[in-house]
Amino acid sequence: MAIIPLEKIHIIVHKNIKDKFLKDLQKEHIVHITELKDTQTSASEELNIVNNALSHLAGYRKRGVLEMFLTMKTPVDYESFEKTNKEYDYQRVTGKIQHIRQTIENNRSSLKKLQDDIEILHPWTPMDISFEELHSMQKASAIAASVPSRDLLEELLKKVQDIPFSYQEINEIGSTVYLLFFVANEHIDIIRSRLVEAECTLIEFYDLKGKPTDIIRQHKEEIARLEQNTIELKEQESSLAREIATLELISDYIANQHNKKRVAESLPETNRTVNIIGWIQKKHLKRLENLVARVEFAVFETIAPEPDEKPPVALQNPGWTKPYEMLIKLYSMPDVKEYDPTPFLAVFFPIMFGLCITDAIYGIILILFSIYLLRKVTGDRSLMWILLGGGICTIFAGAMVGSWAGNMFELIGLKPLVQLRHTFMLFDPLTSPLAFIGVALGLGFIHMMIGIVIEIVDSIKNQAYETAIFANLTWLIFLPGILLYFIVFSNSMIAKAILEILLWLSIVGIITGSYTEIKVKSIDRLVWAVIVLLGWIKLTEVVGTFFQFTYVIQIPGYVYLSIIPLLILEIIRFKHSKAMLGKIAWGFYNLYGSSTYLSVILSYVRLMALGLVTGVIGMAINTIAWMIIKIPVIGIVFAILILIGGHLFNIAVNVLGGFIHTMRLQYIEFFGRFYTGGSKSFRPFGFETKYVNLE
Amino acid sequence: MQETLGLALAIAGAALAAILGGIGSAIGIGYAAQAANGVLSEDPDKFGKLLILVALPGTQGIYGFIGAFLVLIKIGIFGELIQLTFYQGLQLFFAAMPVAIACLVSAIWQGRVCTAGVEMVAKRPEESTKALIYGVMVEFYAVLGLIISLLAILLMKI
Repeated sequence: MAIIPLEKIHIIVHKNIKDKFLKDLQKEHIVHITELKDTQTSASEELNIVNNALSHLAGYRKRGVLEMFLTMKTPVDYESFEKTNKEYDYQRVTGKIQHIRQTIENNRSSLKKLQDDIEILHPWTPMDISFEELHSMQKASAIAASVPSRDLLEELLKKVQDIPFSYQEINEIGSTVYLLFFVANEHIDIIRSRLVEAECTLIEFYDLKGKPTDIIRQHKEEIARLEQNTIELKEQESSLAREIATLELISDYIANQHNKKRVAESLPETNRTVNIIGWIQKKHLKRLENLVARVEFAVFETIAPEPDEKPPVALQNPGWTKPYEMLIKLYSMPDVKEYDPTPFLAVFFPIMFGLCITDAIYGIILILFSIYLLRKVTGDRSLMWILLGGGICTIFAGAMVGSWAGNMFELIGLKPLVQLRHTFMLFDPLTSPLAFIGVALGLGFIHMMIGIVIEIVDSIKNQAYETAIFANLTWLIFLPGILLYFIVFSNSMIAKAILEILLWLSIVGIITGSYTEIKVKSIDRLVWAVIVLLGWIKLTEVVGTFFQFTYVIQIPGYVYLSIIPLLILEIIRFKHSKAMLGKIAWGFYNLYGSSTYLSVILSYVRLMALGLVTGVIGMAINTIAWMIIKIPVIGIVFAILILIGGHLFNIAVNVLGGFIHTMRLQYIEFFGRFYTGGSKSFRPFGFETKYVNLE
Repeated sequence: MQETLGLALAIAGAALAAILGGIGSAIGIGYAAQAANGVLSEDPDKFGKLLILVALPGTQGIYGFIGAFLVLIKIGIFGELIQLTFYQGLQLFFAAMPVAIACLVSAIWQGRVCTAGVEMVAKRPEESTKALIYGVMVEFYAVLGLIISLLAILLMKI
């Protein structure tokens, strides 16, 4: 449960065996390579072809509801991974797909052209001569035109009276009139321009042969043929869908080959050798030794990291907390000097998730669902384990507030069920919501305290003792101290006296020491601490009188007088003590920061709201179902449908909300106390797959 | 007369909680869903990832519904109707307002955040969770509104 110690290594390999060595290294999957040059490796042409083919086939893939949300990777072992790649001729398949796609595309553009032609020809079907005949005249030409309305036609005919021509009306659709004009060749340009002026559309039948009706008939036959052809092609393509799995494997293989090539090209080189600089887990050094020993021209040594170098970080946790590493990776890997908070996530995440849902039956359903997923899904199953843990906590949280699929048990009214609910129920959130808020805030308080403790441990580990004591330990005493003082021990004088001393000390610590950037001599520090202590006590005493508040420990008045000589001392030493004033100002600012602690704890109140929401929606669903059940015969069917659908919907919505809200509480409220993060994840050079799961 | 007016006010509060929450969620989801459809036209495989972002502004509608439902339970609409005075009705009306208004505004803004999230997921699908976290930050204020309404409704003596 910690960050795995890494060793920096330098491997020198002779150029001749570079490719072979990298191949072995990729298979071993143990070295995280850093210091790669920026080289532009062109995208892999082969990979594009395969991925293109896959995207064409994607439509034929049968996908269950589950696959819409999760990527299911097919498990495959290394031998068959290599073997398939050697034996399978993917180009045959991708070639076929490419051909089919091309033909379909061609068909589509031909279809478009044919349909356009038909549309243009359609008004001209009454014309009983072929286009060849029209164009065969020697001294005259035919112009086809459409005129928007008969009135315009009359006008037009008047305008062209001076030119000899004849015309034939072919068709009239709506108000548009379709005409053929016959003109001697010498007048053709003038009549064309007159026609255009008169808002006529001139129509050209470029490469058409035959009568319009015949052409349309032929075109329609051709369209039917092309459509049939496209259907056949699509069937062929869909039959190729069985190749998807293999193509995916090939895609992964090629991608990894390409990645290896990219690494090979960007390793720093000398004349004869290449240098691999990177990180390795200490326990894997032996394996690397063996690997280097196997090839003749390679050596490696462990080297010291640069002073300010940030190594990549790998986490190691025992089985039960392992799934929660996922949540850390999602946020940011911890700094090498930090404590890995995974175990705390493993404890608090399920508890808070459970409180967000708070329904025992839903918890059982979640457990069953996650077990189903765990059996079904291969590869990374962290999410399902987290869901399982959350489900278990959900049962407890639900039993605590007596929510079993909303108020189902009371509605059914069976005695043992009501009894069961009653046995485990601590409070009813609808009649005493404040108890629920108390649970949520209490949990938040504990969570926050643990965050502060982790920061103390981190600071001590990094020898930042001042930060540990004044900026953290003080708060750790102060925050619970306040609670104990005013709530728990409000009647015990002795406890209150002890707490008063602790509170004073922690306040003075925060004011005089929590800002660690400014360094001051101990003597000034001590003197100011006394001044602040006495000042604080007097100040709070004065303010306290307005609220009928008095300290148990009464300090005699003359003690306060000692402030005067101390202040004089500090004024004399002003050169040294002025730094302390800055420190104190920052300290007050930090004290004011206690308001953030308040908002942090209040943030946990969401747990109560989300938990209550689940219960109330559940109640609403039950209420509706119980109303409908009274309708004779069909009532019971509808009621069951509403119950199943409604509760499943309720679970889905609240699991989603619960997950994200809990995550936020970890990232912002919890990590905010101590976490720096920002490290790179340790990613050893190896096979990274998108579709298959290499075993 | 005053008794019935009280009841009407309480129901008006419940109605507003459901209506405003619903409007907010509808607008919020509307923004996000439009953006998501745009992304899906490029890459239909992102459906699952986007669905969560699109559904996120839907919770405010549910919170509004809860506020409304609790008011209805409180006035006994599912069983024996309680006779409310004018002032009790007014109290319930105001008790429903935090959830109603906070949900209306936060759902719309959450919709905008989620829309930006959808655009981010289009480019970097592996970062989708981070977009969700930002969305939830906006939602928290609807949760606070809900909590105040819940407390006011549940703890009110009638």
